[in-house]
Amino acid sequence: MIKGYSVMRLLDYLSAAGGAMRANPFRTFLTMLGIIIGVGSMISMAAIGAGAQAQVQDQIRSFGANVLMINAVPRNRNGIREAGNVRRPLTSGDARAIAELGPVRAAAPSVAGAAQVVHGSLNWATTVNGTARDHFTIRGWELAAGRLFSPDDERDAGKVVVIGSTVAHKLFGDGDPVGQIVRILNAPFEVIGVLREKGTAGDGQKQDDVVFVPLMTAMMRLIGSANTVNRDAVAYILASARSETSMTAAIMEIDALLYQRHDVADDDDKDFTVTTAASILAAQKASTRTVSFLLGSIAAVSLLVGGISIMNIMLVSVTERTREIGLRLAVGARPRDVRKQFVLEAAIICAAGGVFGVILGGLLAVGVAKFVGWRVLLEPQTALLAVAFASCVGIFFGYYPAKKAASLQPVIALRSD
Amino acid sequence: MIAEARKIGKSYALGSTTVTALHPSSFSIASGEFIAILGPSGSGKSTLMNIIGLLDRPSVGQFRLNGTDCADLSDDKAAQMRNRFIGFVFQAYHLLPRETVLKNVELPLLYAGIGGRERERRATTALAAVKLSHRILHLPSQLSGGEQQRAAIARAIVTNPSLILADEPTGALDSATGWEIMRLLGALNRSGRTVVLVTHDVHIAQQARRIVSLRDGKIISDQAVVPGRTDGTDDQGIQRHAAA
Ligand SMILES: Nc1ncnc2c1ncn2[C@@H]1O[C@H](COP(=O)(O)OP(=O)(O)O)[C@@H](O)[C@H]1O
Ligand SMILES: [Mg+2]
Repeated sequence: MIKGYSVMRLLDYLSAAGGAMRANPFRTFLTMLGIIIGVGSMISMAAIGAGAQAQVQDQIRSFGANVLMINAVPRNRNGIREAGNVRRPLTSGDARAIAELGPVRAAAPSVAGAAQVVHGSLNWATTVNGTARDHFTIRGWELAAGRLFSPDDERDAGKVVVIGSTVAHKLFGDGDPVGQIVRILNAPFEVIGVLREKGTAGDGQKQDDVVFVPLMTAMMRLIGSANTVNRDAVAYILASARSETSMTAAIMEIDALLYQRHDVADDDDKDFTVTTAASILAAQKASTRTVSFLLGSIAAVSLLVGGISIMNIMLVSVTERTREIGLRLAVGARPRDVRKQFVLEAAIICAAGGVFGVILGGLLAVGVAKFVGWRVLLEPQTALLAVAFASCVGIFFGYYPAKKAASLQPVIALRSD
Repeated sequence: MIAEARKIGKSYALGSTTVTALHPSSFSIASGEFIAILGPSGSGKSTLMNIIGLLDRPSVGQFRLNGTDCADLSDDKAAQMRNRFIGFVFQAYHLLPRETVLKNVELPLLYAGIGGRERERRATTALAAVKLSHRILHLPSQLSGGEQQRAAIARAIVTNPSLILADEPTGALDSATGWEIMRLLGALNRSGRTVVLVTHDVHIAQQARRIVSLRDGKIISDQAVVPGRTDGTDDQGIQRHAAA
């Protein structure tokens, strides 16, 4: 019963507060402007942040949570990149050594290049990867049909190919590719497997538009000897850690191993990088941090200005409505009832400003997605939170004017004309 | 006794001087009385009425309403007493311009914590009593002065208070409409309510059954008005009381 009363009272306060806004909609709107801009910035900031987060999550999903990618980079001495080739490229020997490390489950040396794949009268330009069968285990990529490379295929540079679902579709339509012959750089290859569809990665890369051949096959027949010094050179090594918790140990041990194998003297001398989902995440965060900071500053300043203008307008409103306050006190409003009414009024104005701000922020986020190309994501709970926060700004800045209204003496309030 | 004033006075500090709006005065109001406080403008009528109505507190003296010393009342308690016990009618009506007549009349019930449906029921009844049933959903600005004052009277009686305080209720009205309001106040008194009326108009004051005359913040006379019939009063129809 008591509870029912207080809920009812809240509704009554709300209707009392709403009246003042209806009386002067334009002024109310101007008052809201700061809040609208503040919440708008907040919302677009959150949308951009959440979008980046979702993109990273996608990338992690496609990259694999426990996956490490080791790439060769030019040595960087005294800030000057060395001309010409990497002196000491990654090799399948490096990959074998990495695979032996305790925290590492598997490592697959890989090369990649572009090539036309032809079947009958159809041909398709795609990426050719030369790798070990561990590559699929590491990426958690399963077969839709057929089989992966056999140890014999890998040792003997067998002319076999495992194709991605996009390539299968382009060259074979709905037919079964397994056992068919395709030509890559004019050499015939038997299609031994078709991979399950993996979808688009976070960066828009179509992962299924790819074919895989054994590493030896690629190096001997397709990619050729890009590196004339070292025929064992590979483009990158894909590895996986035993578990999420062994990631750090895996990175450290790979670093130590390759420092030793590559005669790296110090960090400046380092000729490889280890990329993980976490390092992608860090890079992504850094790129959106600047924008988030900018929008965050706008949001903070606007909300402060918005709050102050609410306070200002509420003070004016208290003065204008002195007689109303006097009357309410005369018919039995307690000072705290008057205070609640004005605090609620400020809260409602700010909440309404918050709703408009959410709309503005949503539009801004859509604009960013369209014109800057960033992924954005507006979550409903963020919108709710922003409106709630705006209301709190109203309560905070409305408190002083409301207190002033509540402290009016009924006689003086009624006398004012 | 509904109200008892013992040497209550009110003065205001204006810069270095003090203005005395009401000199220490004593009087009492019995339940069921119909009293007019009569005096020229600035004589302290409103000051006195505001003290009776717990809208203001005396600077000196003791005022008891319904047995409670107003000095012991917190602001909240005073608000509650005004809400339950007193109905106000003002010269300027003081209706909230943006609310309908019905919502205006419901206002005291709102602060009494009464639910929406019941509020509406009681407000409708009060508006019927002042013959404004056809106007309940109008805004005050759509009503004539007399109708607005009737709405204000409905608001004053909606909590069924025992004391009605009316400060110049006819002051803004033409005389015909003023008399109509006076008939309403008279009816309220006959139905058992105590009515205190503030006016500067002798004819209006004579509608009451007792007149307290004020001049320059002092009670100069306190007399009973005797209607046409005789019940132990003197020839002028006025029974003298000792002015305090
Ligand atoms: N808040 C105040 N400050 C100073 N003087 C006041 C105040 N309120 C009333 N007065 C003075 O007290 C006197 C009585 O006022 P009031 O009771 O309103 O008179 P009435 O209602 O009879 O016209 C007047 O002279 C008025 O100027
Ligand atoms: Mg007056």
